[in-house]
Amino acid sequence: MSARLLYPPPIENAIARIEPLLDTKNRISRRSLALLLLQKDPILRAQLQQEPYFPQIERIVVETQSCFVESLSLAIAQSRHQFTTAIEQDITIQPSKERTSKYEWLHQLTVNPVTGIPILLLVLYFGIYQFVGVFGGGTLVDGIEGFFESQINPVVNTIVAAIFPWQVIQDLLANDYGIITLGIRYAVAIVLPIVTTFFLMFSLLEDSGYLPRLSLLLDRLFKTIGLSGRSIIPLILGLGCGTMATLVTRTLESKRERIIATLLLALTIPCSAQLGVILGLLSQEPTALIVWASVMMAIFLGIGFFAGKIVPGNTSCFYMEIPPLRLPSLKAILTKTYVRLKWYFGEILPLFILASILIWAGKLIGVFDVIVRGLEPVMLWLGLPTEAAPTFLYGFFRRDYGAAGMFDLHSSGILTGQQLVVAAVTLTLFIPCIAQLQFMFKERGIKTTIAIASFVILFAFSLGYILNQVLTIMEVSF
Amino acid sequence: MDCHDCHQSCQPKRKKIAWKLFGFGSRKSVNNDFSHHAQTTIALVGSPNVGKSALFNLLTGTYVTVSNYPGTTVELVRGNAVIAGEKVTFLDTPGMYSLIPITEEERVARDLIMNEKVDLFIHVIDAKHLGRMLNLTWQLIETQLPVLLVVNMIDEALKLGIWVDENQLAYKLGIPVVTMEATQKVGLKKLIAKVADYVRSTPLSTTY
Amino acid sequence: MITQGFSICYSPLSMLTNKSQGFITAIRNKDEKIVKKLLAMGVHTGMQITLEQTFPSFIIRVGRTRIAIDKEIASSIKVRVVSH
Repeated sequence: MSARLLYPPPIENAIARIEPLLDTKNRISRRSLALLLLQKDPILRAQLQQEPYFPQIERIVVETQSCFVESLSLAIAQSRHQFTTAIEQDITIQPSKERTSKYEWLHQLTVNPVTGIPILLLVLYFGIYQFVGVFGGGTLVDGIEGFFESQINPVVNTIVAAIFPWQVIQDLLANDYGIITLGIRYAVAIVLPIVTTFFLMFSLLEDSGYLPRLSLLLDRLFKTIGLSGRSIIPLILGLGCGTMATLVTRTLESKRERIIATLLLALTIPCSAQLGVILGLLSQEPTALIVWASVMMAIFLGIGFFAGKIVPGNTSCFYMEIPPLRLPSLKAILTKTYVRLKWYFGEILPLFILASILIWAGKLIGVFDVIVRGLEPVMLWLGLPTEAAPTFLYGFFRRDYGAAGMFDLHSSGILTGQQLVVAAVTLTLFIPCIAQLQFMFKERGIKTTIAIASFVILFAFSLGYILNQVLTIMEVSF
Repeated sequence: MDCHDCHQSCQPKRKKIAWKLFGFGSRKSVNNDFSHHAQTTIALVGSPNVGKSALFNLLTGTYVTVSNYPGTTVELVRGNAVIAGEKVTFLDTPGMYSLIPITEEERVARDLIMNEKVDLFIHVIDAKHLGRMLNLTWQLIETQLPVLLVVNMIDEALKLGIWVDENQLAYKLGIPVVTMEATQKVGLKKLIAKVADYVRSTPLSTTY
Repeated sequence: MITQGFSICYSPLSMLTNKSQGFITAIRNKDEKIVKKLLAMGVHTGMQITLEQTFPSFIIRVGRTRIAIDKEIASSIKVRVVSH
């Protein structure tokens, strides 16, 4: 005979009284439903609210509760716990002495704030800055970009020119804004190396079990900006891809925390393509990098702080299981990176191509030029050259697309010093790419999305203006 | 024999090997043959970090899901296999600790349990935390839905000196139990056999 | 310790010093959700608990599970201290 769990008599009694009231057409047993009701399960209660027998159930629940000092959920959980512990003891042989993991010392180092914070900074410096920014966004991008510029693009231009005599078609496929010469080049030469290095790093951090430790170290800081340590995971993932991160905000507990995280992702967190390009560009000029980083950090904390005050609801509690640290397997990391890249490119490459087509069509019928001309005064207002206008327009199609455009502008010597900082800050803040906007809409609804998007656009340009003025007044030179 | 990276291109070969070993293959090859049958749906449920996704990938031969880190599988993931000559759809669910959801992503599995037509729930638990995780197993048993228990990470538990009596556990709970180490494919054949028993015994023909 | 005598039996976890060990005597919070969370993670009355760290977050060990919690949740776990 298999074991059977009997709850304390008042609960069994209540179950017996609730069961006959319930429909028999439910998929799950009435005993199970009755137990959910006794634990005040909000979903089931909402579902049965309208039923004529609901008040009677309510009465039974209140009566039963009066038999216990502690909540019914606790009483039920306690019975289950005793029951399952008994089974566990019956069917397992437990070690006489608990064996500790061989990485126990490392765990202590990572969670103790004295050693943990320096470790955190080292992980961010080497993992994100050195590996993704300098290696991915610098070395790899330069190499592949150079190869495209010198080897592939001229060949593509020549071949396309030879096959299609019409300038219009040539421009669609090749030349400055063509699908192959711009769309594919950005995807393969700039985004691919950066995103790959980021996902490699993220998968490594994830599989080693380091992320929950990061959460517990930062929980207190995050509480001041209306979030909990749990939010660090979507936010770090946002450094990889804001779209993916917006989807992952689902793991956050309260609506309030999800809205704040979505806003911070849309506004302040640069995605890896953007981050890689910006780090790659600015690392050549340390002052510029410091200004950009401090401005972004200040905005992140400031906006978070105010959002924490404005968005309704209570601060979320923080709880997280801390799995043992382990040496991740290379195969698992590579597989994860591969799967994430596949997801990313399944979603990104079509948009790159679409953006190329839109730009081509926009140029053809003149709309593109009108928008660019409309943006030109804004550029001057920010103290940027008018040539930066298309970059902001691409930024709408994809944030990284805009960052990649900035890379081009810098390479050709149009964007320098102060302008580079202002452009980098404004572009980082500027509205999320089409894909992220679409996911925000899916996850948060139309109202929140419009509110966040309009705030982000206004804020990005206003802050760009202010930053330009401040840098001019303070005569910061780069 | 790792087909994760190329399951599109090497499906025919994979199907052959899979058929030989335990009579299951991948989605594309069976779509047409079985589309007129009533379909068996099997869902993998359990708390985060117990290897649900790894097991899912093993069963379906596809790697579509993102990760096993708490919170990065946030939606239902679907995959197909053929077991005992029947097309079976497997669902991978975001982690859940209890029938009463706390976060939004935990609701996915709960809604599946409460509302959807799922023929079998495979509850995946970590052998190292057996007692604690049996709590949800028992909640599932109480629903009277068909449940199969997979005690995963059995090798890791053994390294810590924990030994689990599979038969005794099955006897106590009154449901089929399989001990596994999914990452090493240990116990996979046993699991497939148990699922096959289930697929065969379900009177699918009567529903259509 | 802040408290003395028998009241020590029911100290909230948030008041304990680092490395304290004891048994959980109650889990109480006006927010039922917090109680449910703890239960779901395997924290039950009667279990042995070790407080491993108190800053910046509380880290507890219950059974074979290690959990990080904030002060609010820590204060809802009442502990009878055995040693510290």
